[in-house]
Amino acid sequence: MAIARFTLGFCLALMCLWTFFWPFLPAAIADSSLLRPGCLATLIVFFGATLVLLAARCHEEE
Amino acid sequence: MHGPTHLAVSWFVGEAVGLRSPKARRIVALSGLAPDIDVLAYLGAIVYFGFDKDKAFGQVWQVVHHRYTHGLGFILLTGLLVYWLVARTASKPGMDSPTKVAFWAMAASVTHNFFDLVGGGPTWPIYPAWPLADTPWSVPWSWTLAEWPNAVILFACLGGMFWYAKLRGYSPLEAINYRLDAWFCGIVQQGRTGGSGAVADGPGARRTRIVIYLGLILLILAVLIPLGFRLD
Repeated sequence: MAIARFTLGFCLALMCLWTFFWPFLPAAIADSSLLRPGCLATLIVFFGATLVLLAARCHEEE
Repeated sequence: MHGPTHLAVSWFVGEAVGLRSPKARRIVALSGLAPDIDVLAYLGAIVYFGFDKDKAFGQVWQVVHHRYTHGLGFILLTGLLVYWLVARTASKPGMDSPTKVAFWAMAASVTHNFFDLVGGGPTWPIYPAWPLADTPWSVPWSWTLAEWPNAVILFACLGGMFWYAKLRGYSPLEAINYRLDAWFCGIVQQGRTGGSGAVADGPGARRTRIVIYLGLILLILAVLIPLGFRLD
């Protein structure tokens, strides 16, 4: 559960990076080839962490 | 991404992080949908231009959409508004803390912006730094609404809504209306009492479920077909 929560928080931080900071980073730092795989990985892991937490919610009150 | 996806994902996040109060989950879900409130400008423009959709689209929608409500400014405004709303009822039993609800409302708004970057289409940039800067931001590989990843995510959210309603007795529909959610969950749970009304098990309940399922399928088709939905 703690890992899932941490993962969810990390994904939110990455979402902030890709969405709000990436376009303003210098090109030397913001390698555009990282953006697509980074965003897609963030999306998939975010959904996965949310599912794990939802499953834990279902079990905790059974 | 589609509006129902934003609403459902935000609600599921609110539930996943442990928000106990239905009101708090509703607030987080609506905060995740709120950036698309700019659609009201388009509707207003359609009326203003005498139902000339092309004029409304070119002169208002293309200028306004994603500009003022898809950025840090709107996220901060969401957090402040939610904090104020929840703080007014914080003393009521079972209510989550205003700070927690405001934080997750802002997080839901962040996910909305990210989802629109990835799944809003390359021709609809967001403006992440508005009002500090008017810099548009989009990516060329962003999925359009009609592309299959957006459809898969939407169907997964709808399926998740059914699954959660059956398992827990409440669902993302509580973001719209508590009685609607109770009625829906009562149907899905095969006749168990759900909130305001009991649904008797038997042929009548089964017919009602079939009607709901068919209605949902028709609704999905009605949304996706005009967008040129294709399963590539």
